[in-house]
Amino acid sequence: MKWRLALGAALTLAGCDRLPRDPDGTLDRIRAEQRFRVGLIATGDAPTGAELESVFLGRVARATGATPLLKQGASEPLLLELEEGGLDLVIGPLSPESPWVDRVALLRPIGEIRAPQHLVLTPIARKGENRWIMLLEAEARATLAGEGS
Amino acid sequence: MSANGAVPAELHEPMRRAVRLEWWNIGFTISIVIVMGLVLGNSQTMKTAWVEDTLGLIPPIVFLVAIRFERKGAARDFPFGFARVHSLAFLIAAVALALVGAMLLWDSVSTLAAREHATVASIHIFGRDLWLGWLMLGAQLYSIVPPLIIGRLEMPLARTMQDEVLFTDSKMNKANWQTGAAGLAGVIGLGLGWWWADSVAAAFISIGIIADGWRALRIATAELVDGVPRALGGIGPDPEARLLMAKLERQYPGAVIRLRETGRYIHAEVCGVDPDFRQNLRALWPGAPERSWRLAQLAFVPPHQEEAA
Repeated sequence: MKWRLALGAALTLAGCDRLPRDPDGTLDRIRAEQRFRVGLIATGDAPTGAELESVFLGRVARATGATPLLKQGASEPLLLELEEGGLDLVIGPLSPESPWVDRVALLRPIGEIRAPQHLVLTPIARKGENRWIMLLEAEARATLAGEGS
Repeated sequence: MSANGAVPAELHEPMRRAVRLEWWNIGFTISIVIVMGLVLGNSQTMKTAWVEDTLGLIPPIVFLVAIRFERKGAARDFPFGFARVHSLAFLIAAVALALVGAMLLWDSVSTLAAREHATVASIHIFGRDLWLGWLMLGAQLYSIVPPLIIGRLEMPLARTMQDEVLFTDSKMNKANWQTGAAGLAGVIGLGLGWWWADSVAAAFISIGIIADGWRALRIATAELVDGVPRALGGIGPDPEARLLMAKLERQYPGAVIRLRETGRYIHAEVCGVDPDFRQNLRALWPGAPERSWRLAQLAFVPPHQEEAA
């Protein structure tokens, strides 16, 4: 009886891993091409920001087996490019009052910068790429918890 | 409803059971609303299904309020009793239902038109990342079960009591599995990466809400404007009323017979003959004796009255 229960549980968990999928296949493409395109919203010269980003990107790279292609810029053009599918991920501070909040998916923060001004660093993904978002969220959680490399 | 507007004895027991059942209904519906509310996320399907579950509270509340009024019997300022509170409350609920349904339909169609992709993230429980969609599916499954059972229990009571509100509630509850199935399909589709599945399922559910509202609206209106008694849950004539009509026509040849419905009761008017004193309403009822309470009043309108007036 017990092994049947265990088998059932294992099958359910295996099934659990099949959903969700990305409508545009972001994660599959990243794994296949072994690269993902990242936009970093400029935060000034705060060293903590760069450090957090590199810890987070390092984790994502390991989880996907892909290399990040970095690009710096202002939030507006980067988010526009993300929305159109030209980028897979944007990291930076985004005000909760920004109109972009409804157009892109804000994930849980990877950490915050205290000086020179208080900023919360958040990974931002395209809306609805749920598998990719799930992976990013797991890595963001680990980064925030300080399970750095 | 006797002359003083009291509830007939045959109805005491079924009414008590129906009241208890509706309290259970409210309790379960609230639990569903809470469970669904906890896992709503950004899914349009979930939002729509949640609103529908919340709207499911309306019929039992209408029923309980109306019964409370009906039991009060006639009052000085309401000499005919409160049997029609049902229809009034029902009309209000029907309008609300149809409007909310239309709003939700608009919502999902515009989401679909904007090609919006719903983001459903994950949560971290028991040391594992779990896609929120799985919890949504669980909540949807839970939301199907109680209405299915309660809907079945309500049906016979609604027939015994000739109660439109209870009957409609029962129909809505029984039809709830369709909402559940649409909801499950929407969330699974979303998980499979079909971004449109979420809004399409939501649109389907909102059409169901509009249909519920429309049906209730027609039934309530027919009664409030003194239409002939309708079959329970339908817009066709009531078979028992038709028998009564035929019997009265035989008994009073040349008279015009008018029947109307106030709540569960039938009022009959015989126009154009002199009043026939000494009536036994129960004996007059052509249907099953245990339902003879339905004929609540027989009134005579003597000839020439209309000209004299």
